[in-house]
Amino acid sequence: MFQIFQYQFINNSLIVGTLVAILAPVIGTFLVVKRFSAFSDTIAHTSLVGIIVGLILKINPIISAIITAIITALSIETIRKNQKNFNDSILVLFMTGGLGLSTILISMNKNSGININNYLFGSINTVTIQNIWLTFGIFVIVIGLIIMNYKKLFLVAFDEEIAITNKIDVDNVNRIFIILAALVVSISIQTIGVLLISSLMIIPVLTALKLKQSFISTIITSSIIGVISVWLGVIASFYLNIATGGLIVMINILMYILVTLFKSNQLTTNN
Amino acid sequence: MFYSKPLICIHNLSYQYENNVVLEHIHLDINDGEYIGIVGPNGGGKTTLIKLILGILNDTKNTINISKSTKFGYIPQRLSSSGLDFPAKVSEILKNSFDKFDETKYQELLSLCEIKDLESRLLTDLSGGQRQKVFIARSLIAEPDYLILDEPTTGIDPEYQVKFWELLKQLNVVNKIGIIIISHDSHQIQTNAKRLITIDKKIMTDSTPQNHNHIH
Repeated sequence: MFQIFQYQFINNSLIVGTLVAILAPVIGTFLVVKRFSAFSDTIAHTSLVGIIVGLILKINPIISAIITAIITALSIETIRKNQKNFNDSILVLFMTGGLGLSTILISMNKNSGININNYLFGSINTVTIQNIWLTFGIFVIVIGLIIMNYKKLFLVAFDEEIAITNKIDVDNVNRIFIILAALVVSISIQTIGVLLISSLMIIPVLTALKLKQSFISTIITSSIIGVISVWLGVIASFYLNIATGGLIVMINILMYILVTLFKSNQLTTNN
Repeated sequence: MFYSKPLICIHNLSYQYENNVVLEHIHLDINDGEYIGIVGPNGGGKTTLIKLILGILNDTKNTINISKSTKFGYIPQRLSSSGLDFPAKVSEILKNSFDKFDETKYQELLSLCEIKDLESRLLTDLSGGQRQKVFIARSLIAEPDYLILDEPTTGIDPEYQVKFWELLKQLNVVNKIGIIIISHDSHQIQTNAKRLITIDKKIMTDSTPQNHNHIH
C-alpha cells in the first residue's frame, strides 16, 4: 500500500500540496468573510500570463506567476480602495484580460512547444525541489505575517470602518493581505492548477463555516479539510491515473455535501 | 456646565460627493464629555459628519481639528446587521480588539454591558439587542473619550432599547465618556441628550432639548 511513497515526485507533490492546503484556506477564510471570494480566481487567471512568460523566457514559471499575481492584486486593491461602492464585476475585466493575454502569448509562440496543461489543471509531476523550497519559504512568510498581524486582519475583515476608528492603517493591512493572497494563489498553481485554485481556497472554508465555530476554529478546520482533500486527491490520482486538481476539487465538493447533509440532519433531529 | 477647551473643533466644513453637496459651512465645537444628539432628515448629512469626525471619510481641507490624543468608539448604523454572518465568538470580537489583552478590564466590560453569559456564543446566534451590547463593549476597550453611535436602536426590541439608553447615560455620567448619537427616536434623544443638533446639510439648530421642541 505504501509503495506510492517510494516515488520522489509523489513525496514532492505531497509536501507542496500539504503546505498549500494549509495556506489556501487560511487566506480563503478572510476572502470569504470579506465577500471577496472571486479574488482568488481572478489572481489565478492573471497568473497564467506570468506562467507563460516564464516558460517563454525559460525562467521558473512560478516566480514569474508570483510577480504577475502581486501586480494584479495591488491593481485590484487600488481600484477597490478608490471606488466608494466597489463592484466586484470589475474582477471579470482582470480575469478575462488574463486569459486573453495568455492565449495571445501562446499563439505568438506556437513553435516554442509551450505546454500549459499542467498549469491549467495541476499535476503531481511538475513539482521540483526548487519549488518545494520556494513554497516552504512562502509558507513561513505567509503564516508568520498572518500570526503577527492576526488581530488587525481580524478587525479589518470584521468591519473596515471600525478598524479605522481603532487607529489601524486599514489600507496597509489590506495591501499586506492582498500580497499574501497573491503569493498563495501563485504557489498553489503547481498542485491544483489555475482553473481550479479557488476550490482549494474557498470550498474548505464553506464546509468549515457549516460547522458554526469560532473564527480561529473555522480557519483551522478549513485547513484540515484542505489537507485531507489534497492527500486523498494526490494518492487517488496516482492509482487511478486521473488529473490531481480535478480530484481535489471533487473531494472538496463531496466533503461540503456530506457536512451539509450531516448538519441539516442534525438540525432536523434536534427539532 | 463648565467645559474645558473643545476637543473637536469644526470650522467651515463642507463636503460633497460626486457633485452633490452633502454638508456645507458646518461650524461646531464639541466639548469633553458632552452628550449630543444629532437629528435631521434622511440624506441630511448626519452620518457623513460623524464619518468625517472619525476619519473614515477624508476631510481634505483640514477643517476638523481634533486633539491627537482623542480616542473614539464607534458603532456604525449597519453593524447590527453585518454581525449576522461574521463567524466569530463574542470573546473573539472583544479579545481581538485589545492592543494588549487585559483580563481584568475584559471582565469589567462583560459585567458593565451585561454580556457575561454571551461570552462563548457565536455572534450569528445573538439577537439584535445582544449584538449591540457586544459592540458597545467592544467600542469601550480603547477607553474612548467619545462614543459615536449611528442609529443604534434600529431593529432592536423595545425592552432592550430601555436598557440601552440607561447604559449610555451611565457611560456618560459615571464613566465620563462623551456621547454623540444619531437617532430617530426623538423621545429618547430629547430625554437623554444634553445638546441637540439638527442637520440638514447645514446646522439648522444647536441647542439644549428644552429649547428644541420642534424636532420631527
